[in-house]
Amino acid sequence: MGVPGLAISRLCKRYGPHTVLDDVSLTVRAGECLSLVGPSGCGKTTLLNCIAGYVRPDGGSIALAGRPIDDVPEHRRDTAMVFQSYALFPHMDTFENVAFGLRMRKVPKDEIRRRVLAALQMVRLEGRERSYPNQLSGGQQQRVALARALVLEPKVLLLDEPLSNLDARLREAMRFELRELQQKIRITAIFVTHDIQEAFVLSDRVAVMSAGRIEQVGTAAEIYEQAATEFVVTFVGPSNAFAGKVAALANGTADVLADGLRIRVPRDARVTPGAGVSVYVRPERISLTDRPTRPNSFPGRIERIAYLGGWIDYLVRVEGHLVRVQTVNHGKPIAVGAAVRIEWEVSDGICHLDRQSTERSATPR
Amino acid sequence: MTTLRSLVTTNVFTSASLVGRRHDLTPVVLVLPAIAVLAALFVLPLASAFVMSFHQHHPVLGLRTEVFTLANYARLGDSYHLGVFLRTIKISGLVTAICLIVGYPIAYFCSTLPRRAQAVVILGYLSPWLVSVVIKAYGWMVLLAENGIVNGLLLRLGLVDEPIRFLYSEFAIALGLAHAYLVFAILPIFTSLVAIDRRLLQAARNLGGTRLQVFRSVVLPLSLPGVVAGTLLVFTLTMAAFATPALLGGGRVKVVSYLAYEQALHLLNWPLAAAIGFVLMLVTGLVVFSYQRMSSRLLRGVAG
Repeated sequence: MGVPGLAISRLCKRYGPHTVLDDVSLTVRAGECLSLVGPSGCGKTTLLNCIAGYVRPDGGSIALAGRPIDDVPEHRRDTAMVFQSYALFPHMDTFENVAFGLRMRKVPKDEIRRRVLAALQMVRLEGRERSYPNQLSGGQQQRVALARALVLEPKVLLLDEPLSNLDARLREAMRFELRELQQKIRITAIFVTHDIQEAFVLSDRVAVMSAGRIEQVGTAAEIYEQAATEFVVTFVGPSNAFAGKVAALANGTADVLADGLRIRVPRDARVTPGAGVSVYVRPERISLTDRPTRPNSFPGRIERIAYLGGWIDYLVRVEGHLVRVQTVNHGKPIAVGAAVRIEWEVSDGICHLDRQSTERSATPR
Repeated sequence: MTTLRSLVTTNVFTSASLVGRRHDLTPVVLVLPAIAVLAALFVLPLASAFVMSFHQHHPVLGLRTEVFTLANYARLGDSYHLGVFLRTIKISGLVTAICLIVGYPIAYFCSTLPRRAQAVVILGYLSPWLVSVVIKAYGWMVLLAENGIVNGLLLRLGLVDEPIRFLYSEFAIALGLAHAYLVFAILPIFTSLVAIDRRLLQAARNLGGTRLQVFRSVVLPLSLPGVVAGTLLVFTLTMAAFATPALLGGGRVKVVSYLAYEQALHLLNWPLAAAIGFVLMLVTGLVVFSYQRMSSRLLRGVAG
C-alpha cells in the first residue's frame, strides 16, 4: 500500500475539564477520501483543525505523506482547507481568490495564470474569473473555495462540512460532483460532516466519532451492516432495539430471549449463554407477511401508520415491543388494527453484548 | 373614562393596522421632532447666514442689508485669505495622517484583545473627551510654553541652549488637534477590524500566507472602510475645529475658523464671516467628495 496519505496517532486535546479528542488514531490511505462523521461536539472539527494546524493537540502525532508535521506551522503544512462558510476573500474576484495561495508562494505570474485557469476549469467556473464572491451563488462560491484549495495541489484536502450551506437539491448534486472530482485527481481527502448519507456517498471509508473517540472506521456497508457499537447503530440510521438474554447457542448463531420473543441472531465469539445482549434490526429489513417463512417470525398488530410517500412506516405491536417496519409503498397500505406477521433474516440482526456484561467478561477473575 | 379608553384602543388599533398596510407613517412620525430641531437650529440659521454673505459691511454705516454683492467672496481669493485656507487644509491633512498612522496600530492591537479589555482601552482613548477642548489646549500650553515642562526638560538635559518656541505654531496646532481627534480615527478602524471574519484569516494562513502577507493582503484591505471613515471624520472635524487652533495658534497662526471668528466678533464684519464659513464648508465638502470618489475604487468588493 505504500506510505499512508495521513497518519494520526494517539491524538489528545483537552479544553479545561473537557476532553475533545480522546486518544484518536486514524490512517488515511493516499488518494482515499475518508469521512469523519458524528454529532456536533464529537470532536470531528477539532480533529480537522489539528491536521490544518489551527489547534495544537496536547498529545499524539500527525504525519502527512510519511513526514511528521507536528512542528510545522499552519501556513507551511500543505493541507488545503475548504471551509463551511467558504471563507472567500470578499475584496478579491474569483481569479484572485484562487490565485491567493500561489501568490503567497511567489509563483511566477504566467504559471499562476495557467494553474488558476486550470483549477477553475476543473470546477466548471470558466468565465467567472472577474466575479466577486457576492456576485456568485452559494454553489459557485463553494466551487471557488474548492478551486482555491485544489490549485495548490496539497498533500491532503480538508473539507469542513462544505455542503451544509447549500440547499437540499444542490447539496445532493454536489455530493456526486465532489466525489467524481476527488476520484479523478486521486487526492487524499478528509471530509467532515454530520450527515451520514453524505459521508456514505462521498467517501471510500467512514470514521464515526462520538465524544472525542473514533467508534468505528469502515466502508459504508461495513458501518451500516456491522455497526460495532450501540452509538454507531443508532447514529447511522433508525433501528429497533430488543434487550434480552442469550438462551442458547448454535453454530454461528445465538437465540436471544427478549420479553416474550425468541430471536435468532448471528453471534461473535464473546457471546456466552446467559449474557445480556441488545439486538438491533433495521426497520427496512423487516417484512410483513401472513405465513411464517423464517426463524424470526412473530405475530403482531398494526398500531400506527406513517405515510411517507415512497415508503410507508408501520408501528407493529409484538408482545411488549413496538416495532418499526419500513416498507416500499406499493399502493395498498395495511389498515391500522390488522393482524400481521413481522419477519427478518437471521443475518439482519445485529447483536451487541451489553456494556455491563462486556465489562464483566473483561475483568480477570 | 370609557371614552378615553375607547380613544386609546382606537388609536392602538389604527396604528397597528397601519403597520400591516402599505403606508406605514410611523417612521416618518418618529423622525419629525429631529427634523424640526434641525430645521429650526441648523437649516434656518444656515440659510440666513447664506443670505448674509451677500450683504455689505460698510466701515461707517455698518451692515447694509439692501446691498447684494459678491465682494465678500471675491475678497477670499486674495493671497492672505488663500494662504489661511491652504494652511488649514495642510494642518487638517497632517493631523489626519498622524491620526491614521498612530491610530491604526492602536486599533489593530485593540482588536486582538479580549472583549472586555477592548472596552477598557477604547474608553481610555475616549477619556480626553471627558475634558473640555479648551482645558486640553491649556494643558498643551503648559507643556509647550517657553518656560514649560518640555523646554525645561530639554534645557536641563542640555539638549538645547535656549528654549524652543513650540507654541503658536502649526506644529502646536497639529499636535493639539491630533491628540484630541485621535479617537475618531481609532474607533471606525477598530470597528472594521473586529468585523473581519476570523475564518478569512485562518483561510489565508492555510493557503500559505505568512503573518505579514495575511495582514497586507487580507486585513489591511478589509479594514479600509474604517480607514476611509476615520479619515473623513478627523479631516472634517479638524477643518472646522476652533478652540484648539485658536489657543495653540494664539492668533498668530490663523486657521479659517479663527478668521471667521475674528471677522464676526472683533471686526463685526458679519457678511465676510458668513462668506468665510460658506467657503470653508464648500472646501471641506469638495475634499471629502473627491476623497470618497477616489476611495470607492479602492473599496471595490470590501463593502459589499
